[in-house]
This record gives sequence, C-alpha cells and structure tokens, in this order.
Amino acid sequence: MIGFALPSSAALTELLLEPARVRLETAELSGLRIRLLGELPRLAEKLPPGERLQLGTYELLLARRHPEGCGLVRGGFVPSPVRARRAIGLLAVERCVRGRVSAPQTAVAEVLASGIEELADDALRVGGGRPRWWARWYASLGPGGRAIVQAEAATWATQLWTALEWHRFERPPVVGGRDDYWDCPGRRRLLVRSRAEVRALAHGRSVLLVVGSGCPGPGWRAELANRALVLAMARGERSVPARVVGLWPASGTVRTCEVGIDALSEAADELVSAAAVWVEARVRARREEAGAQLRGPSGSPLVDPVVGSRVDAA
Amino acid sequence: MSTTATAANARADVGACEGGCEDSIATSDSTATPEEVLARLRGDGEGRPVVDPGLAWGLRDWLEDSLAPAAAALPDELPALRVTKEVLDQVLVCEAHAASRADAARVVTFEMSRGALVGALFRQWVTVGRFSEPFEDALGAVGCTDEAVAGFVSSLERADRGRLAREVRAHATAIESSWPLFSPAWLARTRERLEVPLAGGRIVLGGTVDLALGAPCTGRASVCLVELQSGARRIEHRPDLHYLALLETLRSGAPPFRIATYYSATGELEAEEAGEDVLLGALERALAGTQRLCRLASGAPTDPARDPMCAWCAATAHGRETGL
Repeated sequence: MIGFALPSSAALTELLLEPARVRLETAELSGLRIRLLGELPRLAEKLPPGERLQLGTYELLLARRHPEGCGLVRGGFVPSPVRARRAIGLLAVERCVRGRVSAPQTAVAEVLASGIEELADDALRVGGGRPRWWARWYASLGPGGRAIVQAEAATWATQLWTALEWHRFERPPVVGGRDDYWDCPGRRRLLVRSRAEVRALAHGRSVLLVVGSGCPGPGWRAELANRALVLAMARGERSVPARVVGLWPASGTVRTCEVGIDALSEAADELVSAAAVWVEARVRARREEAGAQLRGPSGSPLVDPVVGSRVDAA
Repeated sequence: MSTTATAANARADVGACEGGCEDSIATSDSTATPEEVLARLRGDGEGRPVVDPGLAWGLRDWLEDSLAPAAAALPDELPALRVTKEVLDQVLVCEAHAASRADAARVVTFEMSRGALVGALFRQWVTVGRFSEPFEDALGAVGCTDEAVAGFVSSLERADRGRLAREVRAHATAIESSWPLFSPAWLARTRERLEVPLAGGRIVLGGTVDLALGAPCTGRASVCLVELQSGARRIEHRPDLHYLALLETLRSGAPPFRIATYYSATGELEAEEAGEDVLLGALERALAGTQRLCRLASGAPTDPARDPMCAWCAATAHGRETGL
C-alpha cells in the first residue's frame, strides 16, 4: 500500500491487522543468513584495529544519501527537545494504551515528572536501576526549557496516539520497547540495530509500525525491511514480522513492506553496501589521522614517508 | 468569511508595533478574552463540514500535473526544492530578491529574536498553561532550540536587552489574558511540521503550524490551525495561513474547519473557514511561486523587471547609484 494522505486511524489499524500476504520459506531465510554471514564479517575485518561499527537507521540513511558524511567526525551526543521527544513520547503513549491516562498531553507531563522522581530515587538508592537518559538533562533545564521539551514530546505523542485505534488489537501492542540488536558473528566488530515504535500481533504474527520524520525517501522499502532483517538474524525465523508499516505524519504518508524474501534481500543489499561505505570511511579517517600525526603544524612532513627518517627543519 | 475577535480592534495601532510593540500593547484594550478566542476557533456552532474525500486528491493532481514540466527541468544533481511560505512570499514579490536570499546566511534581527521568544512562550502557555518569569522562560526555551537567537540575545547591549525583555513580557501578558488553559482533550500540537512531496520528491512544499487543535478527521473537518504573529500585521499573513491550510488538506486528506492568525502584540485573533475558495487560491499562489522557484533553480535569469515595491531592490539600486 502506498498512501499519500494521512489515513484514518481505522484504515491504518486495519492495514496493520491484515493477515500476512507474503510467505517466507525457511530455506530462503537460511540462504540469506549464509550470504550475510559470509559478506559482513569479511567487511568488518577491514576495520582499523580496535574499532567497532554500529549500524542503525541513521547510519544506513547517511551511507545511502550522503556517503561523504560517513567520514566526518561527529561530536558527542547533545540532548535537545527534538532528540528527546521520541523517548518521552513513547512512554506517554504507552501510558495511554495501558489506560492509565486518557490524553497524551497528560501522559507526557506524568512521564517527565516521574523522570525527575526516578533521579531522586536513584540518588538515594545504591546499585539501583538507571534513570532515563534524558532525565538528568531535563532536570537541569529551567521552566521555559522544560516546557519546550514537554511541547515537543506532546506533539510527537499525539501524532502516534491518534494514528491508531488501539482497542482493536488482540492484545495491547508494545509501544517502544527495547531496540533490537544483531551482533554479527566473527570477531564481534559489527553491530546492527533497529527499532520500531509499535509492535503488535495480527493473526498470530507480529507486525511493526515505524514512525519517520519528513517524507519517505527512495529507499523506504529497504529501510522498513531492515527492521525485519535484524529480527530475523538476531532471533530467527519465528520473530520475523508479517509486515512493517511506515508512517510519516508530517507528510501524511504511509508505506507498507510485506516481509518476504524480496524485501529481506533488499534490506540485506542495503546493509552490506552501507557497511562497505562505513568501513571505507573509517579506514580513510584512520589513515588521514595517521598522516596528520606525521606532519607538523605547518603541514610540512616531520617524518619522510618513504625512508621514515625525521626531516630537519633547518 | 474572515472575522476578528476583538471588539475594539480598530483602536489597536498595529502599524505602530513594528520595533515598538510595548507601546501599542500598553495602550490597547483590544485583547480578546479566552471565551472570545474559543468562540472564534469553534466557529458559529453549525455542524462542521463533511469532508469531500476527492478534494485533496484533486488538489494534489492539479499540483502534480502543473508542476511536472517545471520539475522535469530541474537539474538532476540538485537536492529536493524546498518551498516554504517565506520563500513563496519572496519569489512572488521579487525574483531577484528571492534569488539573492537563497544562499544567504540567516541573520538574526531584533524582531526575529522577539518572534522566536514569543513563539516559545506561546508553546509554553499551550502546553503547561503558566509562565514563571516570561523573559527568562523564553530565553531558557530558545537556549535549547535556537542557538542563533540565544547568541543574538546574549550579545545585545543592556538597553536593547531591556527593551526586548519588556516587549516579550508584554506579549506574554497578552497571551495569558487571551488564551484559555488548554484541555488535554483538545489534543494541542505545537510547531507541527507539514510536508507535501511532489514530482516524486523533487519538490517538497513545507511549513510549520504554530498550533493545531483537534483529532484527525474521520468524515468531518475536525482540525483547527492557528498561526502566531508577534510583529505588525502584514499583507502576506493571510496567504501564508491559507498555504498552511492547503498543506494540511493535502497531508491529511481533509481541510481544517477553521484557520486563524493570532497577533500577540495586540491580542487580536482573526479566524476564518478554510473553504474551497481559500484552498484554490492558495494552490494557485503556491503553484505560481513554485514554478518561478523551479525556473530559478534551473539556472534561468531572474525577471529583469524589478518590483518597485521591493525594499531590497530599492536598497541595492540605491547602493549601486551611490556607490555604497
């Protein structure tokens, strides 16, 4: 299905609940597994010593759309209202789905308040659970900053909450949940990560809903199928969802990926080519770093790259 | 039909607001009450219009068909052409101005920073329904959303910073006295992003709505859009609002039942229905502007006939003549 206008919550729920349309044979999945286990560890071996590569949705997108950006050194993670909205929004929608709150606005306020409470608990408790990653940053903000965090999360959560008819699922769907990881065998230097906003059951099979920003790019199918691929590789055939539905609220776009061998193969191609781009970028970056160390501040070589002896400034 | 929320709006000298809003706010008693604002946003109480599901498809087809030749002429190596209400306003007034601004760095001005700060306060009111100290609240908000504005404010001289603080507080007072506390059941979304990809994604019509209220449509129009304006009333504000109504219609498949512009300097709220005439007008305007933008992006020269109303062109011509 390709939708160009935001479907009603009834239509989107219907779409998620449909029986699987495509069959995935065990032999097909085994073939794909063998292929990936052959290609990915070989690529990972080329990584500079001591480096480990983690590929998530962002890294896959960057490799496809702006491969030149893969080599750039990124600064550390800085929280912001936009970066925190998904994490807070998911907890809020989860509260709404469990019937603890009736509106996302209230739920977001509760989630933020409990984030701060957990911080206080954490300070008192020894060896207790960790607070939410955004809680300390949120607590450090003044009333204006906190309000913007709440506003961003409430907008995000409302879009998700109003997208589905939640009561129609056999069991309450899982909202958010943990990210899925596949640690590529070998010398464990390549980790593939995926996430979904909603995981539900339809006719005994899992189905996923993924929320994107803006509008879908040309690689949307592989992007959606990657979610299924990570589950297939990490947990086996029984975990493969029947479909992955993508929802881009800003553009009102819906895309559906029925998970069969074609979609999984497309995702595998995308993964292998992204891994190649990232490995090459890491190797190049390490080489440039080493080159810079061999040069002085003025750019003149301190060490002759051919004979390896020091060049005297005089 | 467009209506204004205030009975005494004639007394509000919005023209005097530019660069000195505090005066107009201090002397104006035109601020709408929360009850008036709600009444305007809810409409006249008649049933909300039934949505024609073919309307959004028709509008989209019209845009796609009309833009296909212009999109085909765009060089392949160009990224998607992003169209916003600001870019549309510029290119429709003066192509030379729009072309010159295309790659220009963003320059933060006093008015722009006031707009960002007041925008943050409006979000705060919608979301939490209270201010602690408005100017400090607004600074805290832009501190984590807009580094350029935060930097600009911190670089201001003491007197200018004081003037900005007074103006922002005055806007906060207007917001506080105009807007009700928002019920969670209204499903308020602030700064909601709208995007409409066209021509296979080569062109993206985009915009951000300051406030959207109501659940997505299920047969009847159910969403209300509000734009916040912290500066003086300008002629392009209505077409800007209509453009956002068009985007919402294309995105959700249903037009909003009500669209409004709120002027925080005077407390006025101007609301209207987003009927077919509004949407068709917005579509024709968006089409004309986007075709011009495509032509410019394809490397065509700007229209040599400079618009005498364009202040930028007048300034550059003056600069050339005087050697400045």
